[in-house]
Amino acid sequence: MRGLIYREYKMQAKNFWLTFFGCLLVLAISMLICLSAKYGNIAKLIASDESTASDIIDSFYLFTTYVFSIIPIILMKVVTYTSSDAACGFSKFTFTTAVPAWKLSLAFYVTVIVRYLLAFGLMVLNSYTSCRLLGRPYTRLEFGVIASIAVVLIVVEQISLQFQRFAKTPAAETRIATFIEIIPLVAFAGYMTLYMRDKALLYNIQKEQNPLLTDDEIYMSLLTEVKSLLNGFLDKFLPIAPIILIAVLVGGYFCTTKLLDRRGIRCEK
Amino acid sequence: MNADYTNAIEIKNISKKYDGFTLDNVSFHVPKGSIMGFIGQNGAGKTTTINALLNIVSIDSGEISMLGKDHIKEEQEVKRHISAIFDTLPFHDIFNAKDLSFILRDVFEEWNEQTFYDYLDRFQLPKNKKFGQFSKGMKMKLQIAAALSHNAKLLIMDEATTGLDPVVRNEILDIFLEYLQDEENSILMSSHITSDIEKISDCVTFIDRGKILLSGYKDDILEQHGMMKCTKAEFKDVNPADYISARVNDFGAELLTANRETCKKAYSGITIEPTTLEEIMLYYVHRDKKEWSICAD
Repeated sequence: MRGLIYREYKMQAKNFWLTFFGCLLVLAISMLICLSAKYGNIAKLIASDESTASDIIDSFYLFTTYVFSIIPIILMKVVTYTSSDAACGFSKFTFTTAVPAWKLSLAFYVTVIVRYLLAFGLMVLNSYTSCRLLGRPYTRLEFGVIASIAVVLIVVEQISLQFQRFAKTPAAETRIATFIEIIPLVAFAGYMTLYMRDKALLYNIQKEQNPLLTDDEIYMSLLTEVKSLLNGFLDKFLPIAPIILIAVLVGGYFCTTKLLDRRGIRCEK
Repeated sequence: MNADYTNAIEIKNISKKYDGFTLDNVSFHVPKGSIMGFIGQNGAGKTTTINALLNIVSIDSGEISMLGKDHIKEEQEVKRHISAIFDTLPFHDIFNAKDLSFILRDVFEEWNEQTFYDYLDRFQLPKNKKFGQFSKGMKMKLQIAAALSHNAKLLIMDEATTGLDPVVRNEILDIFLEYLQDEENSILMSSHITSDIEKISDCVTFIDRGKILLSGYKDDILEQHGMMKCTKAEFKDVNPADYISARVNDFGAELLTANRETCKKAYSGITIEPTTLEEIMLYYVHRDKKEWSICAD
């Protein structure tokens, strides 16, 4: 098995290092932003106005943790794996040997899971250090959001990977991947736009109804609402997230094994 | 591995239909210990037949056995003892020979690293150089080194010598002859370079438009066929049933006959010379037109 895993590693090595250095870069930028927020000019703001400082810290935290954490996941993506193997004839070659499909599939998934763990570990490290540097506690909410992002992205990618194998050409494979992976992103962006629009409307209504409310108070109430919404989501999602993840990875492994055994998929791309 | 079989490959009446191409009732066999040249022009059905043999494509009907075993029912057992060589190296350019040995240990149960390294030394192939920097000849030698390093009893090659220079081709052909010193080993070699086949093969199978036109021992095929060289006047008197096709030019005609001895007796005035596999292939390809000329083609 070591040889096949080594082969998979070499095939994905570029993505491995891209993930690793990408994550380190993201981490370094996060650190710089957080440190400058804590000790730079923003520190003066913190000293002058507690609530504004808290808002700023929140903004930085959100930016460094959530926005930056998506980058490693994007970097760790498995891309054009099958087309690359089909193009060089390795798929066809394996079919002329007695090596079983499950072995090839297992080697692929071992490598992929190691890469997922690497990226996820670095994402968590990023959010943890951001929290600590900004003097925030690292709570279930922080970890949960990162874990949820990772699980959703992995699930989408695994589904996309299975569909990519039906493509006849590398170009078709890329089209399928783009199509499948963009759908949830667009859906999420659409949902967020509508959500923010509602909140903006709510904000205006609150301002009109009660002119005595300050912006900070409205902001804090909205933030509390978002946090409670997230906590509600995490309460439901976190217990089932490992099950979803395992099911998707095991299902992906079996689908890949089955598809590798199908002559058309394995050899006639 | 059960060595109790007479034919390394037995193909009986296999058919495979594609849109625009049909492999039609193909049958032939490769005797154990021999090298079979599988010839035909591009698109004749050589690769489809080889893919069917390797179960890369499924067949619509027919039977295939390799090394005395059914190619589907005992696929794993059969594939443990065969090696397939294609015209391109099936490994990514990022690997080197050492990596390959490490990987193939997992692929072939009887992988012999020492044999592989011995072949690398013999072929003067570097162990640490990436395949991306290899020439086509080096890549082919590497494939052959890998194919011969796991105790394979049958080599199946699809256009393996195409695109190689004559020096490398000869070197490779010598290796194959050496491999055949062990009488348990056999080779099926597809190519449209008939000179290579003529040089080393014991048997020849000729496929055209998905049909087998000739199959048998090379010497018998060459013995049976002959090239009749005659004037235009003499050509008019030759019965069309006595030749496969005729190349006609301003000075006369050259006719390929499949019954050299009979024609010798029937047309005593016409010179009948020995022929080559290339000529046989060429004249059979034009069999439908019966008369053809180089200018017209």
